[in-house]
Amino acid sequence: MRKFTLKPSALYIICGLIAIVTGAASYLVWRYLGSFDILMYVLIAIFVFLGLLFGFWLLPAYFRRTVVCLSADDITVHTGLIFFRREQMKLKTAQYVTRVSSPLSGITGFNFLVIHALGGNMLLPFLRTEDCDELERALSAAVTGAED
Amino acid sequence: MYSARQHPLRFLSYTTRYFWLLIIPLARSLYSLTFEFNAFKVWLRGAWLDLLVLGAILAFAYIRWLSVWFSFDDEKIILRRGVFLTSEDRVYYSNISTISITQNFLYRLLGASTVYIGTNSGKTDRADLTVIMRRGDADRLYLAVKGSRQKSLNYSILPNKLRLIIFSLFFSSALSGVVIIVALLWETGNILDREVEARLILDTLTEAAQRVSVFVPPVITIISIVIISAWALSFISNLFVFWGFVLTKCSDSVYVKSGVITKNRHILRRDRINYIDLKQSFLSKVFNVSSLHVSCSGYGSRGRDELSVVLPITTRKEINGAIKEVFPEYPKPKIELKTHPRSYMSFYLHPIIFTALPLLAFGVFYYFLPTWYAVAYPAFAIFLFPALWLAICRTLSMFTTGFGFSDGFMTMRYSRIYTFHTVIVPKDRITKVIIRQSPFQRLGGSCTVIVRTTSEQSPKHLMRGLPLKRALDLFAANGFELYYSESPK
Repeated sequence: MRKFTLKPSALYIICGLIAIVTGAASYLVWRYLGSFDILMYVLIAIFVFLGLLFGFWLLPAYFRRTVVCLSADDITVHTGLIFFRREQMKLKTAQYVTRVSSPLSGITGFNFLVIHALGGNMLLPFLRTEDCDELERALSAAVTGAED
Repeated sequence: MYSARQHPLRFLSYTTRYFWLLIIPLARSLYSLTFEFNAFKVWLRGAWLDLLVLGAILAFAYIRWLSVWFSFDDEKIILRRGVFLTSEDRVYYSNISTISITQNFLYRLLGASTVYIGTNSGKTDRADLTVIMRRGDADRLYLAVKGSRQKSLNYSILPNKLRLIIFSLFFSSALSGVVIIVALLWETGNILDREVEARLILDTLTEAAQRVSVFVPPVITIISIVIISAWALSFISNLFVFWGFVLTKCSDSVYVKSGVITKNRHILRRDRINYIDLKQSFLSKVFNVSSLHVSCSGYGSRGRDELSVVLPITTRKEINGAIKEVFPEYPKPKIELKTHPRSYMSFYLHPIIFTALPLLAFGVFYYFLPTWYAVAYPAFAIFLFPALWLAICRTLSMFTTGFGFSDGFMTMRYSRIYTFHTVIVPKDRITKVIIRQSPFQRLGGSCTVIVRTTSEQSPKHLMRGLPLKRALDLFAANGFELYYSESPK
């Protein structure tokens, strides 16, 4: 069995984006709701709390928890943000695979694979480019084998 | 090879809805004219653009009808479409999972039949090919497909009609009646003014409620009328659909015939049947009667007004007998793992939310908009009733939900909204297994198991409140290794 974990750089980029969005939202609240002191402080506190919650706890936990396991017969994903999920799909049921990669995905880790089967799909998120290539090859071989 | 065009009735379905929106006011204004040439000229001057559009729609529909041809022989059916860009669908009978031929009342009068052909290639739940044929052509195709299947000794099941009436009378679901009513109202609303329709229904209900208000509170009357009429409609439609039901099993196919007003004939390939499903309502569960459904591409697809039934509602003993004869490879349902005793919150969460929301809305109206009390009170009662019924169904579900494996098959018992399912699926038809844990379930050591099976309809078999460790052990023992280890090795 081969195991794949998520690329940490994707987490750092998302955390950076969360920091920017939190900062921008807090600035807008401070700029336009300055005359409503209590409301302004409450909203800024909520934004900062949500930013910290996702950036320092939930997303790192998600990245730490998510593992993709590939064996000869099946593919399993252990993942989850608030709801933990264990998903397993038999490779012989796979029909085709979709790969989605952003520009500079080799650095950012924004590589996604979607396995389509008759009756369900499975998403493999934030993969390293080499892991994505390997998984894509293995899945394509399984799909071709299933057709034979 | 026999070739033909579709039934001319198809021409009408190729005209768009705008055709009817145009033709009704045009006909009405023409009808209201006085018999004078000048009046006709004035009408023509005002309506020439509408007439032009009408003519274009008719011409387009006629060309479209002319451009569709079908042909079939002993081994395949070919459907050709298009004027400039032509396409050709060629389906071999050996690849057909389901062929359905239906005739509603109007079609029977006009000698037309709708033919649906489903294969395992479909990604959507609609039939792969839908053709409206002349009745003779449909019969010829049916015989050709039947002729391509293996000849063997047949076994037929004809449900007892008296039992069908009694069971339909007692176990017809008001919910399915509501679905029929909503569909009916929606279709009527497309033709009539929706506001007029709504006012008519409300006036009728209010009048009926006022008449008996001396004896019964109006809210109870309105709810009772809705439930009883939905149930009655469900009962009548059940009888019409399942009267004359015949199930015939051959070595490689299952033949189903049914219907009084709408006549249906289906041929299903047995090896393409994904799973069998014993469906029950709350009452039928209590009295141990059920109906037998199958999942097979093209049969009972959501895109059509049709059920995937292979045996209408009857006793459990008869159902078991039918499974033994028609699907002998399917084992008796075996449940090895049942719900966790502490997992009641998984079952009651939705009923609590659905009860709390109308209660909250009612509270808002009561305190902030007291003038709306008269409207809010019946609305609250109407929304509360389904939530309470859901809580009752979930209570029963708590004691029956579970799954098990035997002889290469998986049995799942669960409830979805108000319907109870017992699904038996071959292990090799399981596409995906998901074990999900909410934060509360993590504390109690329980989980929700979701199983997805090979099917065009992408069904989700969801079992709540199962003990996690035992579920993992049971899946692992049957080839689904779902233990978690975050170690990358």
